[in-house]
Amino acid sequence: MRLFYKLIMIDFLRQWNFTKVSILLVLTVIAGFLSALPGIMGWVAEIPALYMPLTDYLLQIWKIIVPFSVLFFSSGIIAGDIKNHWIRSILIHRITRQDLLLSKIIATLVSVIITMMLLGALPVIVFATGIGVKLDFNILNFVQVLMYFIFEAILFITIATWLSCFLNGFMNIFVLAFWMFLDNILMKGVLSLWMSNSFAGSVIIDVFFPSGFSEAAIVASTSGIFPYESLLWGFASLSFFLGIAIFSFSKINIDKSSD
Amino acid sequence: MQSKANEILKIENLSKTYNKGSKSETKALRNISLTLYSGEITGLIGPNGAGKTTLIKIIMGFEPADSGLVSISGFEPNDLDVKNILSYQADAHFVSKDFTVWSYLKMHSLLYDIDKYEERLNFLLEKFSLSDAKHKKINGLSKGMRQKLELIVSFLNNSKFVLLDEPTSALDPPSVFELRDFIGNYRSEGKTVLFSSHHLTEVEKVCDRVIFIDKGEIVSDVYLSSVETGFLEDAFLKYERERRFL
Repeated sequence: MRLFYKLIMIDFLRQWNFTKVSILLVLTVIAGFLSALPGIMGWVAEIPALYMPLTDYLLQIWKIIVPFSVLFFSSGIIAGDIKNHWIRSILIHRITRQDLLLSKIIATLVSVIITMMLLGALPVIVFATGIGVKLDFNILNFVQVLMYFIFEAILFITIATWLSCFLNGFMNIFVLAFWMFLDNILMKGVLSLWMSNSFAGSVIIDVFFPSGFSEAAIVASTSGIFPYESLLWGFASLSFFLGIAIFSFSKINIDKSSD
Repeated sequence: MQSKANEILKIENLSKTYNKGSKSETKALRNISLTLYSGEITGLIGPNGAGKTTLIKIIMGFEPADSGLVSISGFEPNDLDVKNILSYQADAHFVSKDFTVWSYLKMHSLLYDIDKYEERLNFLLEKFSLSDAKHKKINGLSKGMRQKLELIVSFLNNSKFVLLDEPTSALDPPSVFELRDFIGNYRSEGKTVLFSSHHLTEVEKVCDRVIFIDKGEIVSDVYLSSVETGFLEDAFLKYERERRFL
């Protein structure tokens, strides 16, 4: 078990190379500055609201940040590490392929959570403080929404990982981005009108083009109802993609050198 | 004569075919059987595409064989316990470039769970003349230095059995002497090395035994104590001419 934690830490530190740290720092500074600007300039002096619901704001921001940060941290997550012989170099140790795959997913998740906080939560707090509005902070609601977005991040990272088992270089994130585009534009829009009435239609929309967890966050945040149905679809989808990612990774040729 | 108790690697009827059923089908290994014993340095030689790397990849558990048996001290290649016995130096020079020499070796030491790794690392860096480069980025190292770095990783946990894939391909003569010296000491501790190479003279100087493979088959398996110096080069040339090793 200790080895597994070491593996997560090593992969996490590898992800935060100079380029990524610089990009994230610059984005954090820009986001912080833009959030502070209304307060500094006095642009929102006439806003009547006394309370700002933190979770509602985070919901809107995380819906955008989670997919983008997954794309940012999971590009070439497997293919890149096979090409630079990292995976082979790790598998000489007492580590199974499953442990390695899970450690990579967890390390990427931690990076995504840090990004969610830096580019999501921090600007909202700066904005509210700047305009002198109190944040309406319901800890239970916040934790619930955070958990659903964490599961959504795990789902996207898992899909990116699976795609990276057979797509070269950074192609996995292009396909994942296209997948997300299809999900938002086609599946949840046009096609869902005639597909959602059938079981097969529901499976295609909710398992293969999943957004169960983000829907769960919306339901929980707006209605206060526990989102059983959305969560079940989310977990069904996560189990499916995690299963095929583990299967694909256990079969992949990790050493493409030849005699 | 070696006893069964001394066996560290036993391979029986091992076969591997790539792209089965397609036009580019390649039989990489055909019914290979061999046994390696503790305290021996064995050279694995053969022309390009002979099947050397495939054999090493199967022993390491990086890819499965189609048929046959591989046993490393009684364990299968995919058994995690094998990793306590076996270590490996890769032939390619693409070690992850984000690290410094020291951080890369420290990472491997942590994964090997080596206590007092600093001592071991400094010893190996000294042995392979890499001490001066210990704070350099791997990115800035020459091919030969990267190869030495991978060699250090393979000797890091002092394992009983080391697989070296083309260990001297990028080394300069002084580094080859260092490696030869190091492997000699390793043997005297009763450890086993399987050494794949194209450098026949080098193999002859280091190894106790040589296994020659071509087109996925063992063509010859000779103990060098039973033949004259320079035998390998003559035998190889003869093989090239007559497709016969001895």
